[in-house]
Amino acid sequence: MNNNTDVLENLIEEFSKLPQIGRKTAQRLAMHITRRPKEDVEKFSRALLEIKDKLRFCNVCCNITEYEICRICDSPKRSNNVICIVEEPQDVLAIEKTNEFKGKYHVLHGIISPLDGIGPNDIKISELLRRLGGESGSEVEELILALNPTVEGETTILYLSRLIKPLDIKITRIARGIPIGSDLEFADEVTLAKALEGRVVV
Amino acid sequence: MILKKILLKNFRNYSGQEIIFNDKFNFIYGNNGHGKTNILEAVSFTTFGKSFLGAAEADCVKFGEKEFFIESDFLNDLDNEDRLVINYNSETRSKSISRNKEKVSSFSSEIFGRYPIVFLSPHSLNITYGNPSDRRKFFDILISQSSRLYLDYLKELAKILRQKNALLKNYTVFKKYSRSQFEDLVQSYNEKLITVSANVIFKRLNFLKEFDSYFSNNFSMLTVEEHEGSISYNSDATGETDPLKSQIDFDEICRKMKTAIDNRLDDEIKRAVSLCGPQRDDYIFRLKKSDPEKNDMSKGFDLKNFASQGEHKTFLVALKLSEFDILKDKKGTNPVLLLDDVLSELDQSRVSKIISHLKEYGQIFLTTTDRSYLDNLGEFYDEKEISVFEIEEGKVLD
Ligand SMILES: [Zn+2]
Repeated sequence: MNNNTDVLENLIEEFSKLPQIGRKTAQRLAMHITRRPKEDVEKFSRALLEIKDKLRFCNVCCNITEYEICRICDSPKRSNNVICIVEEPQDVLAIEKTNEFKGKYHVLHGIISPLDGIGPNDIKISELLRRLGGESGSEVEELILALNPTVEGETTILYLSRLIKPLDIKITRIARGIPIGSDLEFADEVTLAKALEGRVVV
Repeated sequence: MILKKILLKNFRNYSGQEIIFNDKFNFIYGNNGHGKTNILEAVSFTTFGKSFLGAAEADCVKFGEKEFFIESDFLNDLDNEDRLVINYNSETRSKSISRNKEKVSSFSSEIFGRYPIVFLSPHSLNITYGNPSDRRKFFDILISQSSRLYLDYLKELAKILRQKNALLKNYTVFKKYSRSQFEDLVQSYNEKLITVSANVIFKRLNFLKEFDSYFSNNFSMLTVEEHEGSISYNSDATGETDPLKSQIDFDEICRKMKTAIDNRLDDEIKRAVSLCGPQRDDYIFRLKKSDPEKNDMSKGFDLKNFASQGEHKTFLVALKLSEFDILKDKKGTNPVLLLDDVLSELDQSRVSKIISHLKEYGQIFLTTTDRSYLDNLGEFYDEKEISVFEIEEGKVLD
């Protein structure tokens, strides 16, 4: 085998490690890179490295940031009374888009799933407990658990509730079920039953 | 609902066969092993997504071929036609389904329960003779067809059990998690398990309550003697429950479920597997006879242990006809009735009884090796209401 194909093969292999990229797509991407001007490829590889060099987890909420403490945690306009717990950084983006939430976040970076070998130590739970037990922790009045309504999400919620209960902090979860803008009439039986199960006091 | 037409390609011993069916009675006969049942099995693939005989897809591909193809045309009561196409490729091990040329992405929400079908075959006898899992499967499929919520609970239950089993295994076998972490985790899974289990049991008990009136009608239609059949539910949590005689209370089921699950925890840790929940429950078929020696108090005896072959068959046919009746009411249309080689299993008096009632059902498919049953049918059906198909070596003879 000659050297050139080894180099190409390396790149293909790296691409195919990315989520939802199969072997064929990886080949196409690699071939595309070979045809781009050198400056473009340099820019691309710098951008990749910078992610690792500059991005880090926020010391407080574990969200991805360039700083020690992220903009949200650092903002005096955001309340320390409410913390919204989410699975992934993209969930923060989704909630921020609504412009409705004035509190702060905690990003777990995953969800408990024994089948996938993910236990409490593999996600940012101890960071959350340390935060709640720390000096700003006393300001926290409510935790909103905004996890997905899957079996894994629900059992993670139950698990967190057990750990947080002794701290005497109010725990709520986001209502699920009926998508906003849809009529009850058209929701199917399953969605309705789940929505009723997850109803909140008005 | 009517099955108008089916087209089989490389399915079992059929290389290519189109069959146009009669709206009323389809009499399919031929020697064993020539492919009568395969036609019904193909129908089960379209409506349930699986073989009703439990065969794997790969075994249904014609020998020497790579893929099978089943196309079926259904007609509903409003004369709307639906074309379902199933294609299975044994090389890629992939199955694709389309309905009216649109790809079906979720079989369970788009197809399951849409085309009500009732199968009765000698294979069905495992419902009364077989294991608890055979009985659960019969009722699970039946309840799911009229309640998507129940199907959803079943899926949730299966998911929780898989996670809980992984948790127990990680802890007991692989020594993951600290003791206190494990305790909190297992209690979290149990909390969820209790709610879902209670939902499943609650639905099952209420279904049985509703099912009973259908069942007792059919049972007394089939029996000559003064026998009574009944169905009760047996669960780790609640013990044996006759849904007609006891109050079905959701909170009560939750409480009992919690006690039962808590009591098994030590064993579960030791054996690293879930030991409690509706995945282990059973339905008990009871028969009450006037013969006092065989009676266990007043509730009748358990079919599984004491019944004769004839009694098993009567019970099964009553279950299946009740399945038909309840689906008919729930779906507002006659299910298609598939009778696979059942007449030979029954004695003459029951055969005449069943045949005399068949006219009350909708479209019927009957397979048999014995052409002479056609004479009995002639009494009840006009000539144009019966289509006769003779099957030989994977072909319908002209
Ligand atoms: Zn932060």
